[in-house]
Amino acid sequence: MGWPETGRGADPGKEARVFEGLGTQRLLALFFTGWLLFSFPLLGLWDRDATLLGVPLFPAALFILWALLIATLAWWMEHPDQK
Amino acid sequence: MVSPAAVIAASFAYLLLLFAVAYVGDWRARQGRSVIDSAWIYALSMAVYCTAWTYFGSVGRAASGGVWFLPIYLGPTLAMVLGWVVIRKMIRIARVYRITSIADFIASRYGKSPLLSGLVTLIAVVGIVPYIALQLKAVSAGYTLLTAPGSAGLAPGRHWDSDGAFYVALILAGFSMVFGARQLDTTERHEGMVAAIAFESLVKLVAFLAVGVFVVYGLFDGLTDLFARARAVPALANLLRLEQGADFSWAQWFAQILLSMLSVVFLPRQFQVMVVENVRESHLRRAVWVFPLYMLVINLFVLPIALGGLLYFGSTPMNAENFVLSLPLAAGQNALALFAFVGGLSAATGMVIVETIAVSTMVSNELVMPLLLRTRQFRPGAGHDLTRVLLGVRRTAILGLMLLGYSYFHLAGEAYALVSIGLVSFAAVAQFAPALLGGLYWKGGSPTGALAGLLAGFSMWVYTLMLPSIAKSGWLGTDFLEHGPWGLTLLRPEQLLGLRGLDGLTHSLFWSMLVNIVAYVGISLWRAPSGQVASQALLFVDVYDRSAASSPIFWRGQAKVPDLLRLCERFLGAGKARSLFETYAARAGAAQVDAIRADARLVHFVETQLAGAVGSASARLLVASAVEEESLTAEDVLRMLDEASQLRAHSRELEEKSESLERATAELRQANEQLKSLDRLKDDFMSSVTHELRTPLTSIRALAELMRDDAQMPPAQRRQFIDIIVTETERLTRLVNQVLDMAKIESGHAQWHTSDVDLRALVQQAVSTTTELFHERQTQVDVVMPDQLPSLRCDPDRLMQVLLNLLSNAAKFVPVPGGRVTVRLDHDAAGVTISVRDNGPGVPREQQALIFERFRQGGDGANRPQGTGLGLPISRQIVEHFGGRIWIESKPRQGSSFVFQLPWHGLAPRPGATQQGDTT
Repeated sequence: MGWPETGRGADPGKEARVFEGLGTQRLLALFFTGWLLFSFPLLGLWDRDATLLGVPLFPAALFILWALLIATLAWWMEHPDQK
Repeated sequence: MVSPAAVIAASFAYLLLLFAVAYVGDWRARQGRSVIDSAWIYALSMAVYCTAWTYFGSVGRAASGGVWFLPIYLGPTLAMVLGWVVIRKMIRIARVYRITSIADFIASRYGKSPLLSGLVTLIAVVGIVPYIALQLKAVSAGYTLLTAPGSAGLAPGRHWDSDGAFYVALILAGFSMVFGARQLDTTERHEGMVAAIAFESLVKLVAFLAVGVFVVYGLFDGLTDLFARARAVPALANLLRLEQGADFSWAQWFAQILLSMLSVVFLPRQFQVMVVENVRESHLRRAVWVFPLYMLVINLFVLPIALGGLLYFGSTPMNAENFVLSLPLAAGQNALALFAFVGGLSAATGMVIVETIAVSTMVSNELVMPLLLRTRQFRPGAGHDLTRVLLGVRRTAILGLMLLGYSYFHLAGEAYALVSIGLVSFAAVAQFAPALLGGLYWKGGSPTGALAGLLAGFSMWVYTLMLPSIAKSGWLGTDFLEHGPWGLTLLRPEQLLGLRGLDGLTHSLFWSMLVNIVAYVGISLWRAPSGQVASQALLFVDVYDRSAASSPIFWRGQAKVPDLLRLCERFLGAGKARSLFETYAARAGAAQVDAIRADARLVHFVETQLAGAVGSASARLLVASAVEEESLTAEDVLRMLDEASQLRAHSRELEEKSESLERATAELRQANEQLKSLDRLKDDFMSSVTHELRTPLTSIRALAELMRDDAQMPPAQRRQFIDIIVTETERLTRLVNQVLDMAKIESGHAQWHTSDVDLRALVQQAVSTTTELFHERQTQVDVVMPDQLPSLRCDPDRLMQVLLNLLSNAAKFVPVPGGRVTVRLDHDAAGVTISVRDNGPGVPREQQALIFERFRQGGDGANRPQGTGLGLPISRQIVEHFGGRIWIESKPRQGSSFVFQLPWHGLAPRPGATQQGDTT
């Protein structure tokens, strides 16, 4: 080694550790997916004069998307080893 | 209507129950059997996010704006998706550095600056007051509605003494004191309070769901019926759509999601339950999805209740925020209405208790203590026991907060809906986001930057949101709203610089966040931070890299143990301080407290313990006053960091070395075992070989001696003896050849001459070679094989060796006369199968596996046939060399069948084997 082993050199990837790992990347992806689904213009797609089992489509879609987001999060959090 | 006495009795009974839960929680904590050591309890305690705003306000919002009640729950859901990344880091930092509040957190990150922690506290107090007012408003409005339904909504009394909200404020303040400011704890954790909050979360959920089910299935004929009737009314049908007849304000939608996303972490009470009260980091794993699920469930019936109320009351003007109470009341369900009120009370008290405890800790630690420490009476050197003072300060702060909340309720609360009041608070705490999040991930953030950002953002919030809200309540002239201060229209608070098209909240959020971030980043980049600040930044951003042992301590100077002990006694109490020092002595390997070395580690220990009680900024001041410190330069910090990381690198190296040593030991042990067993095999082999050699040698020697000693031996007998000697010699030769052969094959030095072999011809040749042998034993040999067969690549001589082996084996075992041997040649897609079947005695099952081992002949010792015992092992070696396998199928007294299979392309070259193609 041509340079002295300082704290920074001795510990590579310190900075990257925060965002390392498939788990964290998945969470980031889920976050942005949720953000997209709940905002313009994707949310507007559900705004139709229709019903789902008697419930108006728009509120139903909001709650279903929300539930799916939570279910995905729960699955990843409770099965952290399936990488 | 419900009688006031019943409402008050129910409320008090509920609060007492709550207190009992908290008491049990504290009692169990002291016994070391924590009730809150559960991910579910942790998640439920997070649900303190759902306050009276959720309970009453959401229905009101839904009744006027449809899905607009939802963004403040979608935001937190998204925030929790990243919770495992961001909140876990905050928990880790708070645990390692004993952080007790969000002000402490921000101040610690930026060099333990008292100024910064004071500012954060101030923002928290001012920002949170409207939120407390909201709770007071909701509870007193609920009470009024329940006891006198005629006076729709709320009518605060003219006098403070006839005003329910005032008593509610006092009672809740008393309750918070009991919960959170009874004793002083260095970690600022309140197990009993958390247990009570989790319990409250359950109560408000069940109560709200009960009302929801009652409205949908009691007042209406299920969801389908309710929605069908709502869709029939155009005004209500609009509520179920996004656009609602007007342009949808995406900016506002976005702003509310962003705002609630930040608030769910940065509201003082959320920080308290999520970060400070966290028992185990692993609990977060479950809480990040259970908490959003809780929000989803509690919101399921918001829209149905809102629509139900609008349909039910029709044209009668009713405050939609009270539908939760007024619907059961109107339907004569007084018990349900009372239960619903208790649920709402639960939501409000939960919020108030945690919020006031969190903020009062901040006020006492970050505002009052630093000021007190400057006065003569409480100077660090003075000998006062300050624990009682600290508790007194906290209790006063709780009371003060409640009274401020009450004042705001009077000042501005009447004019605003619950939701609008809450959002004002959200916008205030969102100002913490840049400094805090930046501090977590960006080492460059500096104290002046954070201070400037917070000041700028907060001022903008006051100017664009707080002042207008007060003005609109009639306490200030609205002149400056419409025309700007001093007639400068560009400075109108709600259209700053002429920015139009945004609602007040979005407008304020945009400007405040803009100036906040710009000031924070800009000023941080302006100048390099000092050594102490840089050290704190490193400790925070790289918190996952630090274990307790290798964490660098940025301190240099001289200290004395008695000084530090006295300091701890003043702020933690004498007994507690003594026991802390004794624990430290035991850990540091000192015999007693006096023998402790007053080094940087001890100073750091004392500072962290004090930080738990008085906040890190005050603790820094106190420690600095008790010891002689040298100030650190940036180079010092870097050097200390290097030392720590070298230590860490060394310990990691050691760890790796010992690991690899362990691995090597295991490998060696395994190799040793293998060698031992090989050694045993070799011994067995040697004794077998020598035994096999001795038998023929003995007979050769005996016969030769006989012939030497007896010169008159008849020629016929002499000739017979010589024949025997020749046979035995041949047997010896064969044995030695086979041993050599075996050794060659096993060591991989055998020569293989591979070529395309016509198996039909090979089998025929093998059979004809052994014809004489079978003829002697009067045995009939049958050959069964297909007319045509592709050639196989292998060594014909070796294969012949195998065939001859099997055939001569068969010849040895067939009965005489009546022997019968069948040679069968088959083939399929995989390869060729050759079997040699005899009608001999067969091989017992237990011997079948052994006969392929060296020197394990079939039959017992008495009638052992002639042979070396190496034929089958050699055959197996050859077959396996060509990728095939050999086995025996046999049943006693039904003969046996030796079968081997060779694949078409199974040549498995072994290392060291000499492979020669077509050399014949």
